[in-house]
Amino acid sequence: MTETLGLIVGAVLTLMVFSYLLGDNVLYRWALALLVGAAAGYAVGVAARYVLNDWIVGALAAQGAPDSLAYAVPLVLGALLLLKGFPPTRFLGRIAVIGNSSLGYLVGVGAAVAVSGALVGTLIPQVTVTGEALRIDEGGLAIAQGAVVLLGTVLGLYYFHTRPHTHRDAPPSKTPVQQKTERLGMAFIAIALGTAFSGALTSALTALVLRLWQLVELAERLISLVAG
Amino acid sequence: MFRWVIPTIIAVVAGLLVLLGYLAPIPIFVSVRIVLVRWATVLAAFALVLAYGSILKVHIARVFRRRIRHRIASLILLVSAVITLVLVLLQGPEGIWVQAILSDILIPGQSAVLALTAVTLLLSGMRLFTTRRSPMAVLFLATALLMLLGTIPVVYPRTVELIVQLVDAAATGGMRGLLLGVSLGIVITGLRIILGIDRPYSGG
Repeated sequence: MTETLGLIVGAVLTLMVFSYLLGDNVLYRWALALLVGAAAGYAVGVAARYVLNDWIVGALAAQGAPDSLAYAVPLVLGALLLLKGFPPTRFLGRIAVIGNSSLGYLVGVGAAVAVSGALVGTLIPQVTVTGEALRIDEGGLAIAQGAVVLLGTVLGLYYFHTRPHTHRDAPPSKTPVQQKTERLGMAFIAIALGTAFSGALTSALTALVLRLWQLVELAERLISLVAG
Repeated sequence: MFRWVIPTIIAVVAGLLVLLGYLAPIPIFVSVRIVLVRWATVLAAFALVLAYGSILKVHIARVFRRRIRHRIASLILLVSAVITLVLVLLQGPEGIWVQAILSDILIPGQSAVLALTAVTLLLSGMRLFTTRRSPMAVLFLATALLMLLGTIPVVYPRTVELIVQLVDAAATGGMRGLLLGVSLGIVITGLRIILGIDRPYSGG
């Protein structure tokens, strides 16, 4: 019975979301509000439990100055960050500028993690596999594929880095060869985005089939319940 | 002083130490990096609480303000946000009611929104073909169509298979170019922040 109730709630929510196909309406907005609220509450609940259980309880149980300091620093920085939530008209809001230090720490560490992630996770491996793509010892098709991958990578990168134009009416500052190379790079990007588009469409269609299947499943259950 | 001097010093020192911990695998740097990143996760949790408070503040104002549209949506958002938070705090993420919210509201709702994008993607694809018939738009849609046909489990003639393989290689190349471009952008932006040239935290 509980399972059927859960299915009914999910089905009603699905229909409310699908009502957008008839145009923007209140049912769709209510469903989205419910989803956003529940997701926000869930995420904050998990984060708050992490801070409470792993850090505040740990800080209270810490023995010795270095241990206490290791727990206290992020909690103090976090408390300073919360000051930024107060309106500037109140006292706590006026001293909220101290929270910039916490924000600076978060941004500095975040930037370092992003830089190392981009270097170690994307730049170095992608450059390596691009270099390895062109192999002469694996036959005609493999050579053609490797050459296309290499060409696509170089031209895509070229297009990506020469893109910002000055003004539409401004005289072209690029040579015809540069312009043609750029258009070729654009073609590779268009092919890549077309592939990504088809992948996104396939995922969305799979989700659509699953949702419709759940509606059918619920209808079957309700019919069997009514029929006894 | 507190507006940008101290925050910049903290950002630069913390950023350089973390970067050193990733790029120079010396035990002392790695240990410092692990501690600093763990502290950052705690700060991120506080930032999430701040964002949650901001959402509540905006929607409470909307609920109590007159002559504003979609007040009921704001009320639903507030109620669902507060109830879910209280349940997660009381029961933990594995609690029965929290699991019910996950499996009966969040998962079906979010997959319904994803399912809805199938229709919007199809419509936007068709609109692109009718409004902008440039060679690049045609190439984009032709590739998408070819890739979609490629997912159908049918035995195609050898020529079609060859074309699909070459288009696949071109897509890999183009995507790799994009990825490299994005990564270079991340590295440059990150280094500007770590070196204190950009200071997005000094807004006041």
